[in-house]
Amino acid sequence: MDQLNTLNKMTEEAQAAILGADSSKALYDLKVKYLGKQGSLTQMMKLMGKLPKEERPKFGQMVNVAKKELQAVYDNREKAIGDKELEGRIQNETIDLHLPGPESFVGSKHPLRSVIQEMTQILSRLGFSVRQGPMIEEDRYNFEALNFPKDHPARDMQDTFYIDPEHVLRTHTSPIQIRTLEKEKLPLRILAPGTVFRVDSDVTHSPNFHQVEGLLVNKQVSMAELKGVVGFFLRNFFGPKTKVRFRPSYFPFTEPSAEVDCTCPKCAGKGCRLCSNTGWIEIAGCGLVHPNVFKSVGIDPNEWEGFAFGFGVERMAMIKYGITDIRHFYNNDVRFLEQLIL
Amino acid sequence: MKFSLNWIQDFIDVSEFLKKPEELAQILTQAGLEVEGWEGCAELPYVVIGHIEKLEKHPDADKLTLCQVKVGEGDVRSIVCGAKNHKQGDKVVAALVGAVLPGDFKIKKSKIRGVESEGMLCSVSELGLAKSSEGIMILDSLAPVGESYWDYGKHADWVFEVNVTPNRADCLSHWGLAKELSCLLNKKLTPPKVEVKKEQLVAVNLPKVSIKADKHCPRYALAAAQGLEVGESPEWIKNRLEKVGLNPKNNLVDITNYVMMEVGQPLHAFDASEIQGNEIVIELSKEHENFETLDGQKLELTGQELMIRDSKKNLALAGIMGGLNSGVQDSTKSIYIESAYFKPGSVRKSARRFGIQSDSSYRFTRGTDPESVLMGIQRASYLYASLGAKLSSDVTDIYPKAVEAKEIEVDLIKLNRRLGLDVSSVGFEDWCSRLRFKILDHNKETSIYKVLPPLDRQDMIYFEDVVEEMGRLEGYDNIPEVLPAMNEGITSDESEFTQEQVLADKIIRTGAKECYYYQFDSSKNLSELSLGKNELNSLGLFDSGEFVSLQNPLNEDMNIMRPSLLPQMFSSILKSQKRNIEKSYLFEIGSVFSQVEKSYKQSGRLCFGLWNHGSELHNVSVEPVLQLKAKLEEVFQALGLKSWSWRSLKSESTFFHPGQSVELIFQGKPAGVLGSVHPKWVEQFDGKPLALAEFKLDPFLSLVKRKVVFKGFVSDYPGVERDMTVLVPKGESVELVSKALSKNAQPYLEKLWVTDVFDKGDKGKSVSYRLRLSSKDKTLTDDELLPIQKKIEKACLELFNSP
Repeated sequence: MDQLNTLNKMTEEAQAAILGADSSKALYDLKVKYLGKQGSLTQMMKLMGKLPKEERPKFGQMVNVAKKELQAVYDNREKAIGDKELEGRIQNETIDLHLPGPESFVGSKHPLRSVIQEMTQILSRLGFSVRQGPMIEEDRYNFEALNFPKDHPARDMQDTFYIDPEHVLRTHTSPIQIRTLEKEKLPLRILAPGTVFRVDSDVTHSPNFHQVEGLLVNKQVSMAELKGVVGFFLRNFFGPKTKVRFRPSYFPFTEPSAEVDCTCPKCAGKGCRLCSNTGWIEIAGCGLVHPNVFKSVGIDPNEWEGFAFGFGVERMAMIKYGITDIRHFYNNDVRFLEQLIL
Repeated sequence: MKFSLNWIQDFIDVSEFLKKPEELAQILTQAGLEVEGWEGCAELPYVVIGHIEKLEKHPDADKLTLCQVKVGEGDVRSIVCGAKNHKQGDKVVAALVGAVLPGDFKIKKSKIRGVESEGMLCSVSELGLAKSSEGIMILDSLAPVGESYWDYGKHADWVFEVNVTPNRADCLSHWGLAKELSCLLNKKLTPPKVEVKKEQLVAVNLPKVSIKADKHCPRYALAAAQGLEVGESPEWIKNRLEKVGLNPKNNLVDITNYVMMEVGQPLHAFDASEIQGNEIVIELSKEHENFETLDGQKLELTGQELMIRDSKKNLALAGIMGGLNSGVQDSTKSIYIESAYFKPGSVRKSARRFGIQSDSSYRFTRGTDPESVLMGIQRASYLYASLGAKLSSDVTDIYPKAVEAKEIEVDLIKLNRRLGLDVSSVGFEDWCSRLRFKILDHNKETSIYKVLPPLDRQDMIYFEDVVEEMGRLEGYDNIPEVLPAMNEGITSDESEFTQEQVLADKIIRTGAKECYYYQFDSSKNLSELSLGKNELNSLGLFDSGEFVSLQNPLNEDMNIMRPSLLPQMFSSILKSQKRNIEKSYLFEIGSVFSQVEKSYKQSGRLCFGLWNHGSELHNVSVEPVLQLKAKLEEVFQALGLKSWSWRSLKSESTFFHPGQSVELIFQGKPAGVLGSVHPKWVEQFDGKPLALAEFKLDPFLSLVKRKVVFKGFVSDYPGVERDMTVLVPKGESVELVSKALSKNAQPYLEKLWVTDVFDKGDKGKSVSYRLRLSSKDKTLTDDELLPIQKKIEKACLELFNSP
């Protein structure tokens, strides 16, 4: 049977050719040559017509088997060539990932905003909410209503920038207390963050700085509650082991007044340079609202009581981030901003 | 104020604190008198009294002596000394080997020019007892050899620096602090000695005193001291004055200062021979009068100052400073001693008007005790008498209307409630007596007391003042911590604050670093950058009115409230560029100020800065201004903004690069400016190209306020992309093309963006766009797209008359 010989010969030849192919292009050409529509094996089917009728099924079967076998050989070869070619490509595609990629910009929050946010968030848990006010303030709001009469020596405690005889740059955020008491319903509990100004400039004093002040007014308010709120705040800000101490002090708008010390967050009270070896750092001023403050806004001090406290934001930030020169906050040296990614 | 423990010891026994000054510091601090530091020395070992038994010339140096100094039985040391004022037989102070003198000066055995010296003979200043001195100290011939000099001289002392708050004027003297300590320590007081022996009193025709301004001067007293000789004060007076920080001048003046530091009453001494007409008048000055102070300042008076006058002339600016014409001089033989109570407000006004602060005005402005007027004059008389002076047997004391303390009603139950303490009646009464408060009345049923504070506690006016006294005396440490109930008065944060925090966070997420600057700026700096009112106005950044100036700026670089955030951002970027920082992207949320007459306006602003001349590795060659524009649009999108536009500036900017600056249009209104800084400024300050932007804050805050609602997808059908290239003639902006494309691609336009720009020189630029088109309800076919494509082409042709 010539046809059979031809088939076997061709199959052998095709297998050898496929196994010898070394690129996917060469392999594809062989696929067309042998297995394609016009391929040799397909042509083999056409030889079938010349065979006797009874041999035709058998021959057909044999062609199909040969075709399947050849396809399997082809598939194996295709995979092998594909693998080899991918390997080669991968080797050529090596990137030295120690080289830098294109740089982009890294954003960060200013440490003062970060501290103000942390402070307001902690105190919001005790129900305090934020109020703001203008930086150029009337003498009345900054001093008079806060029980600093004109020609009172307490005015010397705060070196003031004047805009005109009746307007100052606010020396504290306390005027926001007055503005809020004038227009809002009692009881209330508010926080007043903001920029304040004093004529003073050295490594720990800036003529432009920030305060966060709190005010709570209710029918009955005590020093014990003030201590509770200030202690809650400081333990949340500096850590749960922070101890708080009140020292008697003087502010015209509070009576009794106190300065607040807390155990030094750096050395935990053991004594270090930050706390001048005392183990304590001065961190806030506070007190019960002076009756004259209530009177100045037409509130009856026999009916309402309150407490107020105030923190210096820069000081909190200096302690928290180990900053020793207050001017860093305002120089905006990129090297400073890059270290404090907040 | 500085306090000497030794001086306080004159009035109350505080000797227990000599060995533990930190304990006294703690007690005072916890009582509200904050001790800021203390210095001194309780003992000085190896510093003893010596006797120079033999004095020879140093064999090898003309200016030195070699002394054999006996410092104990059978203990003679040989000491080399360079002083000239000592002789054989003198008693001296010898610092022996092992001694450590003030200033950490350690005494060691040493050879001086070949001769061994076993110590040092000390001068007053070497012992830290004076700032300067000449020669070594020669002691009384009876001084006991070998005894510790520190004990012998009673030099064991501590000087405390106490921060006395303005309310505690009563503690601005040693006697005052002794009274406070007597309350705190519950100890007895011994008042200062005031009695003058009869034989030292003489009858003097004192000047007639008339107070014509009793509102300002409720009390005025005068005494005379005669037969004086101006000279140095005794050592102990000088020593005490120096310890508390005063410079001794002469015996007559020193005594006035000594009494002020001791009992808190400022005094003034007039040279009696300079007083004309034997008359003293206390009245307001006359306008335009001149007055020359003791220290030579020439003042023009305004008619508001309280003056002390004789029949012809002004003698003193009351309570502040005496005049050059009537003070103590070298020739002064007799003086009038003035002791008065001047009202705080009156003294403060004058002191501030002329910028004069004296120890006297400091005390008067804080409020002195009207009762101490006599004590002051008596104590001074006693001290002048101790110098050998004769004192006037009478003291003139004009006090027409006695100042009276006001009683305070104290509800003990309320007091305890306000503190969170539990002070008993017995406890309260005990504290009252220690505070020298008189209990006038006590209603046992209501626990209401009526108390009368002493006149020196002028800070005791209200019930709350007494609350503080009880709090500090019982100890703030004993007050428990209690959290207030969360039941009432709870509201939300002011919306501007919340919005600002959200805005800051969104901007930071685009990679910006936040900056904080001073609210001040320099008017000179602004005009040098040509950022005057007109320029800011034409940039839409300054509405009307004037810049706000400070009356008393810290310096000229901070003389106005800033009208724009640009200058400070610009100068800080220049500084960073000088430090070779090759790129950064910064922003600030701040305020600007303006004024119309006395009405001041503060408005929020948003400022950005960006420069980038860093890596060439990845070919970052996009201009900073375009990079910043992209960042800003990222911010707008983060705020949910869908439409905004940029418009060329109406007039040519002098601060920004005229060809690289645009105005932002937000909701149809100009909102600020973006641009490259004019090369003129960049070059002048040696900088590198940078972009800045300043916007009004309000439009951004209002975007934060917007409601965010999910609206479903634009289309579920796949979109089709079409590219087209337009030649934009030179000098024209792509703005028109973008508008034409978006208008004509409706209703199918989903997105439109630029994919390429190719510069064709004089012909202009060829700009390639890609449009993504889609429909809400079907897949778009070529047939449906063709008419749109035609429409767009036609529109572009019409735009510049070229495809």
